[in-house]
Amino acid sequence: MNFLNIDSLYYLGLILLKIAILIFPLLVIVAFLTYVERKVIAAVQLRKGPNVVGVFGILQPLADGIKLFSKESILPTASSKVVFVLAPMIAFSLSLAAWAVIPVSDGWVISNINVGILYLFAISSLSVYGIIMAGWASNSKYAFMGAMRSAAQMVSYEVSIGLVIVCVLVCVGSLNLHDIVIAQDSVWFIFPLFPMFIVFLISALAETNRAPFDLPEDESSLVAGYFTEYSSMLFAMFFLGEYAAMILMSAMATILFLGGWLPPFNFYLFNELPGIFWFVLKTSILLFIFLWIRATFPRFRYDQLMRIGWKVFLPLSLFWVVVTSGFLVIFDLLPRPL
Amino acid sequence: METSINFSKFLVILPEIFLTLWILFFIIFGVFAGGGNLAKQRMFTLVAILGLVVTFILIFTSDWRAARLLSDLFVQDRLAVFMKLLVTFTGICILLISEKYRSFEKLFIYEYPLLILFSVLGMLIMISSNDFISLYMGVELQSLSLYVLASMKKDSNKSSEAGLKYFILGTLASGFFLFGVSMLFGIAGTTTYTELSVILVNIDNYSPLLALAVVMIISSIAFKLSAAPFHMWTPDVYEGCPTTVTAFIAVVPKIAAVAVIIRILYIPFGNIYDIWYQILAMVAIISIFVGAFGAIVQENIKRLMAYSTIGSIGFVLLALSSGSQQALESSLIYIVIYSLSVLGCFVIIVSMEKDNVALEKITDLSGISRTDPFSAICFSILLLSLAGLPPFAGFVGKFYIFRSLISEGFVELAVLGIIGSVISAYYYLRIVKIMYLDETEEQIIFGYNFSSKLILGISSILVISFLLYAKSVVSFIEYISYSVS
Amino acid sequence: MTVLSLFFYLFASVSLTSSVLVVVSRNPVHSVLFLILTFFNCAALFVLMGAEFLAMLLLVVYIGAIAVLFLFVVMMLNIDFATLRKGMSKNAPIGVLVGLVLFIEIVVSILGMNFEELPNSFSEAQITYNEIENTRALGMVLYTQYAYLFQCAGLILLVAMIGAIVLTHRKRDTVRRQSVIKQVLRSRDQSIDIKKVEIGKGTSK
Repeated sequence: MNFLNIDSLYYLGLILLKIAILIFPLLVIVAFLTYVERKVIAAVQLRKGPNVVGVFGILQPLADGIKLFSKESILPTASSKVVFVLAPMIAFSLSLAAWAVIPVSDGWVISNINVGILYLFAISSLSVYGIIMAGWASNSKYAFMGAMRSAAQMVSYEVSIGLVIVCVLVCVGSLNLHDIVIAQDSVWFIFPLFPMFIVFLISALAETNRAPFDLPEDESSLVAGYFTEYSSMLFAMFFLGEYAAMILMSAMATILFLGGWLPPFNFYLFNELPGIFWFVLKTSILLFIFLWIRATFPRFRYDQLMRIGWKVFLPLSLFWVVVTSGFLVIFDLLPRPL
Repeated sequence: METSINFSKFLVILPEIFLTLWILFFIIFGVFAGGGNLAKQRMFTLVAILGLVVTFILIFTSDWRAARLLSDLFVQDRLAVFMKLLVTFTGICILLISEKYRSFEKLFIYEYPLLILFSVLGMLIMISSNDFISLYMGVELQSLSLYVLASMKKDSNKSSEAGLKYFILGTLASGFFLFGVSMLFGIAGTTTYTELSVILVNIDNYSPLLALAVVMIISSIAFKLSAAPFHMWTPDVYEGCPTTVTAFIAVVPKIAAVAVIIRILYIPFGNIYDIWYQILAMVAIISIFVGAFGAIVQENIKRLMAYSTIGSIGFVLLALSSGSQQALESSLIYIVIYSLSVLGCFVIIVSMEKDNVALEKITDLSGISRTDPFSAICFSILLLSLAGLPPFAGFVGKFYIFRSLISEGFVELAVLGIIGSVISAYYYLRIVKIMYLDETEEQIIFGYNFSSKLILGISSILVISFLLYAKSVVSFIEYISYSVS
Repeated sequence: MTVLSLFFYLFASVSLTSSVLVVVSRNPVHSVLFLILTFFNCAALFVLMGAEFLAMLLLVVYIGAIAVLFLFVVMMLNIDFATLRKGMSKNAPIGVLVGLVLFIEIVVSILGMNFEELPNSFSEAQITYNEIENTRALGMVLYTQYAYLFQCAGLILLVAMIGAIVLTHRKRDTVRRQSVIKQVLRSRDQSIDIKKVEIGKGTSK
C-alpha cells in the first residue's frame, strides 16, 4: 500500500482544497441567484420583491434554506424509494461536477484536461438522468409527464448545442477550455459566430428547463413537473441543481463566445483587473439575460418547442458548421496544430 | 503517411461512388416528388433501375486487373468484378419483377427501391472488401436495409415478425463476427486480408484462439448465407417478408456472401486450411440434409424455397471445403446457376395471385399445366434444374462440385452430397407432379408484366440449354477464379 | 499498488457487478439504470487507459442519448415480467449450458495461446501515436487512412434513419398540424369578412 505516502496525500489535499475554494462560493452564488431572480422579476413587474428579511431582503435565501432544512422529507408510499432519493442527488452532484474543468481565470482550474469541452457536454447530457429518474420513481402522472417532456427536450437541444460547439472547435483546433479562451485573444467568437451564440443561448434555456421552455415544470398543466412529489432537502437539491446548471451554462457561453477571463479591450486599466473579475462579470450579464427572458416571455407550446429544436436550430447550426469550416478552409485560417 | 491519391487507380471505385451519389440524389428526389400513385412509383422504380444499370456499366468498363486502394481496405480483381456484375444484374431483375406485386400489396413507397439500392451498395462494399472492418461495414449496410425491407408490410404481423427475427438474429451474428475479428486482431495485430494471409502462416496452426476466431467468423458468414445450423431464421423470414423482398433475399445477398466467404477462405485463411475445412464440411453436410428433409413437409412455397436455399448453399460450402482451385470454380458455377434458377422461380412465385390477393400455398399451383402451360413448363424446368437432374443447368453445377470433391479425395463428402441431392429431388418433383397431375381447385392467375415474362423466359431457356454453352461458361469462370488464389 | 490501479479495480468491479445486475434485476427500469452505471464505469476505465476522447464519446453518445431513449421506452412499456419469466425456467438450463460451454472454450483458448509467438506488428501498432493527444491522433487516421470506413459508417446511419422513418411514420388525417408559414402569410381579407347585419335577420345565409 505505497500509495498512502506523503506526496500523494499532499496532492489529494490540494485537490480537496481547490474543490472547496470553488464549491463554497459557488453554492453561495447559487443561493443568492434565487434572491436576484426574485428581485429582477419584481423590478420588471414594478413590484418590490423580497424586502423583509435583512436589508433589502438580502437574507431571504438564508431564511428559505432554513425552512427547507427543517421540513420533513416525504417519501410517497408507491414510489421506488432508492431511485427517488438518488435522483436529486444525481441532479445536484452533476451540476457541480461540471465545474471541475471550468477555468475561472488564467490557470484557475481544478483540472485542465484535453477534452474539457467534451466533458462539459457529456456532463450536461447526463443531467437528464436526475430528472427522468425522479419522474419515474415518484410514481405520479405529473412527475412522469414532466420527466418525459424534459428528457425529450434536453436530448433534442443537445444536438444543436453540440453543433454550436463544433463551430467553435473548428475555429480553435483544440478541445481544451484554456486553449479556447486563449484563441479569442484577438476577437471574441461572439462576433464571427453571432448566430451560433444566439442558438447556444436559446438552447441553453431549453437545456436547463428555464422559461420560456420550462414545460417540464409547467405549473398550469403539470403542477410542478418532475419534482411534484419532492419536498424538503430533496426538493432543495433539485432547486440548487437547476440554478447551478444555469450558472454553468452561462459560464460555458462565456468561455465559448465571450472570451472567458479576457478583458474586452487590451487596455492598461482593464489588464490590471484580475481575470476572475471579467469572468464573473460576463457570466452575471448572461445570468441577467436568463432572468430577463423569464420575466418577459410567455411559455412555448410543447410542439413549438420541439419544432424549433429540430426544424430550425438543427439545420441552422449544421449549415453554420459547413459555412464556418468552408470559410476557414478557403481563407486558409484553419488553426495549425499547437 | 500517403496523402496523394492516384486518380487513375481511383476510377476502380467509381461504381460505388456513383451509386452512393445516385442514392443521395434519389432520397432528395423522392422527398420532393412525393405521391403514392402508380405512375409516380413507376418513375421511382425506373430511376432506381437506371442507377443500377449505370453502375453495372461502370463496373463492367472498370479496370478488371487486380488492385488495392484506400489504404488496402478496398480490393479490385476479376472475382470482385464478376460478383458485382452478378449482384447488380440480379438486383435489376428483382426490381423489374416486383412492380405488379407491390401494386396490390400497397408497397408503393419510394423507400422500397431506395433500400434495395442501399442493400446493393452494401453488397458491392462487401464483395470488394480487403479488410474485416470494411467487410463489416458492407454487411451492416446490406443487412440493415434488408431488415427494414423485410418488415415493410406494416399491417401484417408476419412481416413484422420476419423483420424482427431477422434483425435480432442478424445482430447476434454481427456480434459473433466482431468478437471473432477482435480475437484475430489480438493474434495478428491487423485485420487486412492480405496482411493476415502472410501473418497466419508462421503461427502455430493449432492455436486454439485462432480456431475460435475462425469458427466465429465463419459461422457469422454462414448465418448470412443461411447455412444450417444457422438457418433458423430463413423459413420464417422468407415466409413473412413481402414476396419480392423474399426474392431479393434469396438471390442477391447470397451471391455477395458467397463472394465474401470465398475471399475470406482463400486469402486470409488460405494458409490455415486445416482449421476450417472440417467446420465447413460439417456445415455443408448439415445444410444439405436440413434443406432436403425440411422442405418435404412444407405447404408454403416460400418456406419451401427457404429450405431449397439452405440445401443449395450447402452444396456451395461443400465444394469450398476441399479448398482447391477447382472447388472455387465449381462453387462459382453453382452459385451462378443457382441465382439464375431461383430468380426464375421467384418470377412465378411473385406473380401468383387471385383477385389481387397474393397466393403462396403449394396446392394453389395444382393443375396449372392446363390453365397456364407456359408457367408450368418454365417452373418445371427451373425446379428440375434446382433438383440437379440432367440435362438442366443444375446438373452441371452439381457435377462440377462432385468432380472437384472426388479429385481432391473427399469421396465420402461427395457420396453424402449425392444422397442429399437425391432426397431433395423428391420435393421438387412433388411440385411438378402437383402442377401436372392434380386437379385444379382454384383459378389462379399469373400476373406477369412484360419484363417478368421476359426474365422468366430467358432464365428458363438459359437453364435448359446450359449444356450447349457450358464449356464457355466454365472457361470464363476459370478466368475469373484465377485472380483469387 | 498505485492509486491508478486502485481506481482500476474500483471501476472494474463496479462495472462487472452492475452488468450482472442488469441481467438479474427484477425491474426492467432498474436493469437499464444498471446498464447506464456499467457504461459510466467503462467510460471511467477508458479514462484510466488514457483514451479520454473515447470515454467522453461513450458518455455523450451512449449514456447521454441512446440510454436515455432506451430508458424512455422501457418506462413507457408496461412489461409484465411474470409472464416473460415463465419460459425462463424452462430454457434457462440450456442457456446456461451454452454460455458455460462458450465461456470454457474461450478460457481454454486463451490459456492455450502461446503469446511469445505472436507477430510483432501488434505491439508496434500501440506506440505509433503515443506522443500526440489521442483526440488528434484519432482525427489524423479517421479522415485519411480510414476515410472510406468513416463514409460507410455514415451511410449505415443514414439507412438506419430512413428505416426508422419508413417503419414508424404513418400519415394521420386526424392530427391538425400548425403551419407557421400559413399563419404568417395570412392576410386580412382571408380572415375577416365584414358584413352589414340587418336587424332581425342575422348573418345566416
